[in-house]
Amino acid sequence: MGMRVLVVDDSAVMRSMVIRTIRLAGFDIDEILEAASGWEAIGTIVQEPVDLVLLDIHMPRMNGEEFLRAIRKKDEFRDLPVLVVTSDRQEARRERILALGAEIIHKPFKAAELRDKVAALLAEATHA
Amino acid sequence: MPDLENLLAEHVEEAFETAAFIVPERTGEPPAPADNWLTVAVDFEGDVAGRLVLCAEPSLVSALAGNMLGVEEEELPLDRQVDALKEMANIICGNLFAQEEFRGAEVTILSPVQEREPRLRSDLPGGREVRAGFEDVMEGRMLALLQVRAPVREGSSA
Repeated sequence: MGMRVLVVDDSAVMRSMVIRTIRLAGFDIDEILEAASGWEAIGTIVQEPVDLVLLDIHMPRMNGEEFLRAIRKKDEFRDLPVLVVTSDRQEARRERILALGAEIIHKPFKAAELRDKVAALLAEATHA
Repeated sequence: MPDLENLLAEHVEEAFETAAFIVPERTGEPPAPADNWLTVAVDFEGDVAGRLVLCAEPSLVSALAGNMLGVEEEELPLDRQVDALKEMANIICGNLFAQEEFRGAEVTILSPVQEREPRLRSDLPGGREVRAGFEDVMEGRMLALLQVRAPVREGSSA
């Protein structure tokens, strides 16, 4: 059975770019869902379980870090694989994201970098 | 003080090349934007405050969006094209603050917005301002502006 992935970014262009990269990689993914804010993403994962979240940080209506903090408080999402896709390279931010159990890839990313990170996290989700 | 002009130019070139396979070459003299050029700005606040502005010819913005999304440029509505330029400004800004020159600074990058014309903030007197021009021979020209100021904190005698 294929996986379900949620892509969260307030930029429609960035969501499309990430989704296109994932689709071209040929992963066994049944469905890719989209959300434009952390708030919308929470609504999505509560209703429809996902195996991986790709998450922007700078977003209106609940940013990525707030989303991560919120979901890690819930048992069902404590181990949900999350890949933060951000242009924010500040060290303090990075430390906070890692402490919340997420991986990070920085924009601008090369397609191969994103594919490798997603592959590793999907494998992790499969064996969880 | 860091060489802001070169720093800005390097990050503009890197972001366009990596995210959109466009290689804009730096021009000697920054171009004067025409009325139909598209402009976006991203403000930042914190230990360092300021604004980054990108103002580009429509042909360059169209190519940027088409390359980022992997679709024919003609298929893209204008708001999608502007969205691509906003994302590029966001990427450049985020990458700038990872540099040695800004190490340790806590900066909040605000959401990029579309502007009618390239303008800097009026609430940051005394800030440094640099500009750089770019041209991709196939796609068009672009102007990048960067305004940076470390604000005086409360209680400071400066």
